[in-house]
Parts: sequence; C-alpha cells; structure tokens
Amino acid sequence: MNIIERNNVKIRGAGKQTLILAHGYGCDQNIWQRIIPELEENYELLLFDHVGAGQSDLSRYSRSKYGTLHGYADDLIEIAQRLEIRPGIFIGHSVSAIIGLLAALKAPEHFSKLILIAPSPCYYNEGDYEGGFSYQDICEMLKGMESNYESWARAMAPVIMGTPDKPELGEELTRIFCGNKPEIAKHFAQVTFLSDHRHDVQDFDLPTLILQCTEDKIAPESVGRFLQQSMRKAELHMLKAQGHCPHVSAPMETAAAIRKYLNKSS
Amino acid sequence: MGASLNMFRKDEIHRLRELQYVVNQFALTAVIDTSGLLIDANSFLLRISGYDEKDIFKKPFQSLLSAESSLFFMNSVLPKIVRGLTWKGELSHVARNGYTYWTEATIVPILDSKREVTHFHFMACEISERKSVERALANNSYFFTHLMDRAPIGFFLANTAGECTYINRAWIETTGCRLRGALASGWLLAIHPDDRNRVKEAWLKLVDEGHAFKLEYRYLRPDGKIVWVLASAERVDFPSDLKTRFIRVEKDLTERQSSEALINEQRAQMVAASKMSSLGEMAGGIAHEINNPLAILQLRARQIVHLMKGGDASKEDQLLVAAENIRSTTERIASIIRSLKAFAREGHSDPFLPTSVKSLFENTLELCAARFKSHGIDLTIGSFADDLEIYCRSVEMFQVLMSLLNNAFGAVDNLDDKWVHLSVWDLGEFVEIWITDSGPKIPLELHEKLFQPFFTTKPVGSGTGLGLSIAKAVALDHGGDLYLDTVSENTRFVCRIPKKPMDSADTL
Repeated sequence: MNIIERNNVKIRGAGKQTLILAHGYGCDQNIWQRIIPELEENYELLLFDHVGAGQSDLSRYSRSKYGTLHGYADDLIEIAQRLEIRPGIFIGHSVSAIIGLLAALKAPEHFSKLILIAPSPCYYNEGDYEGGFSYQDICEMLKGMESNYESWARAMAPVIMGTPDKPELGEELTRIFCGNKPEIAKHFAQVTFLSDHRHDVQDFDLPTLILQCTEDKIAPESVGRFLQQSMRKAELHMLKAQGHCPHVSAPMETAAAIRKYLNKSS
Repeated sequence: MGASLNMFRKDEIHRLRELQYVVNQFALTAVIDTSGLLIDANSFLLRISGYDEKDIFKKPFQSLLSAESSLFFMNSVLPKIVRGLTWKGELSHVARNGYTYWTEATIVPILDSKREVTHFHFMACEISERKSVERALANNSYFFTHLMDRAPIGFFLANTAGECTYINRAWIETTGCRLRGALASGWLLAIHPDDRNRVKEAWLKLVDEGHAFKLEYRYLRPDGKIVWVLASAERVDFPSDLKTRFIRVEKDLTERQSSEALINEQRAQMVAASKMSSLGEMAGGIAHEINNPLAILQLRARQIVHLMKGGDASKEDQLLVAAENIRSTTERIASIIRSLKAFAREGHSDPFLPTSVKSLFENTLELCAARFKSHGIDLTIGSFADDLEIYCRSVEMFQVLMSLLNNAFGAVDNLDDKWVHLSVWDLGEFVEIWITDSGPKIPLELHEKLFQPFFTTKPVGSGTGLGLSIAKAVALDHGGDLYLDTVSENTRFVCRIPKKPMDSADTL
C-alpha cells in the first residue's frame, strides 16, 4: 500500500516538467548525484530505488514478481499513478531504459518522452542482432556470479563503468555493487541479462532519445543503432563519454544532451 | 592405508545416508534427465505427490506441476537450466489426488567434465502455508487500502525520519494538497501560515522526542478556503519490520462548525418566530395604542388650523396647549415604536449589561398595557426600588417578560376575574420577577411538558409553543432560571436573574 516507502521515492528540484530518473542494475538513486545539480534548477526530479535496491523495502522483493522486468515496470506505473505524473519525462539507465519502455507501453498517459541512457533490449547476440555478448558468455558470467557474488562484483563493476582512465569511478561502482543483498543481486542479474525485449521496442512510437556511449562493453553501438531503427520516433545521440555510465563519468555532457533534446522538442 | 581408506569410505557412506535421512524429513528432491523426465524422487516427494516410485519413473517433471507452473517451467526455467544456470523460484503443484501445494524450489544443472549438462537436481521445500499467509496478507493490505481511501478521516503516515510517505483520500480532499506536494515535509506548506510554526514545532518534538500531540489547526487550501482540523499524532513502533513510523489522524472540524452554525441559525429562526408570534398577538393592542394618539393628533391639528384661520390672537393660550399636546403625543408614538424596534431586534450577540428593571418594565408595558386594558384585564405592578438593576441582555429579557405576559393574558382573558400581577424581589445576588395571574393552578401532569418546545395549550395557529422553552433557555443563559411556582394558589412563573456577572468559578 505504501508505494513511496516501498520504492523510497523522493522529489526534488523545481520546474513544471517532471523527470523520472530510474537507476540501472546494481545501483540506487544515489547514482544520479553527479547529474542532479545540472537538472534540478529547471526540472522537478522524481527519484526512486527499485525494490531490492538501496533504501527500498527489501521485504517486498519476490522472485515471482521480479522474475521479469514487467514487475519493475508495474512498480514504475504505480509510482506515476500515485504521484499523478501526467505525463512525465522518463530517464532510465541501462536495464531501467527497458523497464521505462515497458511501463510506457502499458500506461502511455504517464510518459511524454523517454530518454534512454545506454539501453539494451537484449544483451546477447542472436542471428543478425549484435547484443555484445554470446549467450554462453552471459551464462558463464551468471554462473560465476552464482558461485561468488563479491568477486564477480569486483571484476565486473570496473568493466561496466568502462573508464580505465578514472579507476576511482570503477571502485565506486564496486562499492555500490558490494553493498547489495547478494541473493537479490544475483536474481536481478539473471532477469536483466537473459531478458529479450526486442519485440517490445518494435514500432514504439513515443519520442525517444537514445544516449549511446563510446566503448560501452555492455550496450555497444550496434545496439543503439538497432533501437533507433526499430523505434518510430527515436533519435540517437552519440556521447563522447566512455563506458556504460555517462551520468557518472560525464554528467555535464549527459545533462547537456538531455537539455538540448528537451529544449528542442518542447 | 587400505584400512583407513575403507574406514573413510564407510564413514562417508554413513554420512551421506544420514544426510539423505535428514533431507527426507523436510525437502522434496528429484533427479531429472536432460529430456525433462523424472529418474528419481525421494520419499517426501512421493508422499506429498501421492505417486508410487514406479508410477513416477520416466514421467515428465511437469506432471508434478500445475498447468500454470508447467507453462512457466517450459518457457522460463528450462531455457536457463539447459544452459547450465541454476534456477530458484516458486512452483505450484498438483498431487495425484488433485490437492494443490506450493514449493520454493532450486533446480541445479549437473555438468560433466566437458561442461555439458548431464542431469538436474530438483530440491524444494513445501511453502503452501506461507502462500496462504501471503494471500491473507495481500487481502489485509487490500482491505486496508480500501478502508483508508473510504475513511472519512484524514490519515497521514511518515517514515522514521518524519517524512510524509502516505496520505489517504480524505486527507487530500480536506487539504486540497496532493501526495506529490505532501511528500517529505511538503505538507507543512499546506498549513495556514499563522499555524505553521506551531504545528512544525509539535511535529519535530514528536519525531525527535516521541511526544504525541493533539492540536487544532488550519489548512489553507489552494482554492483559498480555510479548513480547521483536530489532529492527533503519535509514534508507532511497527513490530513486523522494527521500524518507527509516525501516524497522524486528522478530523475535519468544518462540518462540526457548520452544524454548530446551523443550530445557531435554527435557534435564531425559532426565537424570531416566537417573537413574531407574540407580536402578532399584541398587534391589536399596539394598533390601538397608536390609533388613539393619532386621533388626538388629527383633532389638535384641525383645531390649530381652525384657530389660525380665525386670526384671533386671544386664542394663543389654546394654541400653545394644542401644540404641546401634539408634541407629547408624537413622543408617545415614538416611544412605542422604539419599544417595538427593541423587541424585534435579534439580541443574542448583545453584551450583558447592568439594566434597570424599571426601564425594562416600562418598555414591556408600553407594548402590551393597552391590550390588557382593552380586554378589561387588571395589570398591576408591585413596588420595587427605582435603581434596581439586573445583569442581562435587555432585548432578551424584554422577550422573556413579553412571553410570560402574553401567556398570562391568554390564561385569564376568558375568566370572570381577570388580573395579572407583576412583583419584583431583591434577593441580594438575584432579582426574582413573579408573574402571577388569576388563572387556576396548572395541572400537575403538564408541569414537565410546560417548558418543552412546541408545547402549547393555545388553539392551533395561535402561538408557536416556543415561548416558554425559549424564555427558560434565555434565563439559564443569564445564569438564572425560570420555573413554575407550584406552591402558589394561582398560576405563577418565577424568573430569577443575577444582579452581577457570574463568577466563572461558580458556574462550574
């Protein structure tokens, strides 16, 4: 019943338009800290933690509800309904990009535009589609995670951050990953990396901005191009930022791209 | 070495048997081949599913599952485990006899040296009870949400930090503030600026020190309306997740205040109705009172005109007398009209003031003496000190006296012996006014009803039946009383009014 407490929802900033910020795998709303100062003067920001992450209510985690990304999308819709966001601009990172897209398909009245940071509808290659990993690679990674979550986190976080020139950012993400409850983190990883939502993005027709990083090991450029071609009203913006987390490693550039897109389309 | 290895092996087998025995006490286990067929099942699984060992051998694993779980297994579980991934989750099953049960299961793929999957181990605990508790909880939660959204009372919940996380529909309707605006400490802005600091202080004291509070304060709605609420807030330590939260319940007082306003309005209407009714009864007398002086005025005016036309200066004296007569007569009319006006005015909000009993009587008699006289009723007043005062709202006392005199009039009008006597008694702290008439004693069975609203002995249409009930209410309001003197031979009402303001301590 208490959705605000369940998802640790916070509202800050001033502005007529609401930006809904959805964090990616293994993080919580604190991951937006660096980019918030760039946005909060002109927009109202809605921040939250997915159930299982950060200060969310961990007791609400259920393997069946969160066994697919639809469980998270349903939560997002409930938040938007409860707070009467009609409509807001959704900004989702990585797996949350797809969560937001699923929510917008189910309840389009709550979303006017989507901004997807390093999104991927499917992380493994299949046929002509280049997801970036082979299915076997993903399975091996998940198996490694199953046997020892912490060593997996230490190995993977720097790869996900993808900023070898700024190792402190990789370390920061490692600390965040290691703060997670392993059982939930492992399950969420399976759900994320084995998901395939390519059919959901086909003909998606809300205005969408795809922010594509360079050297993103998790969501390579081929994925960004696939998304842009599949959707009806998608723009692809190439960021100079490297890695998978431009809102952390290049907040100014990321915010500028967001502002430019919103100013242009409004 | 051979002997010790043997020992070890023997121990190992013993240990495995022990383990198997323990597992059989609480878990369902099975082995599934790569085609998804059961090749082994433990005693627990056989017992709960109702199958024999030979029944189950080489049966598809899905035959243990419900239709829904079976589909889920094929679509979501199988693709993972055949790739060597462990799967964990909940499954619903159907036993041979149709009984359904739930398990929390783990399916682990076993790999050979070439990392190929050779078979799967299924291990699960029965969680049917937990599932029914979960369902009951979900029901409770649904019921709670439903209840909260329909409760006519504002409900506000804050987290450990004292930040608002939930408000119900009634709260939103009362304050005009939506959840989005109320979150964290946003709700404080919805409170009337004059009350905000007071509420903030009380709230911080609750959150920091656990002081529960009960306060009345205002919300200033976005539409400009002001709403009063009575709030009570307290700290609650939730036993389920050991978190402290703060609950505030707010009762909208606007409705109470508007019903108070309604009662006041109705009271005013009743008083006015009763007044107009007495006025109607007096109307004949008043008309007479004014007609007489008018006739005199006309006569005198004609006389002056006549004298002026004659131009006889010696008639100056007569002229003067006539003019003087006109002056005093008009003053008399003015005085009657003053009394009428004073009587007709609504006086419930007037201040209590020391009022001369003499002037009160004069005003009253001004309006009704003529009527008594014209009906041959002897109205007399006993003597009392000219400077005697009571502490009252004069308009209201005026009405009390008028009401009592009207009743007395009605009671004696048809009698042979008709009189009404007013007497005044100075009792130190109080003054008693007795209104006695020549009518017979009022029957005992009517005593109680006498002061009830709408009780009347007059014919339908003449009198509202409110006179005495209102008069009594006024007397009580003044800190005095109005009652029937049951000892008196004649009908006698006693009105007791204090001379000085009541000391508040005495009224308690």
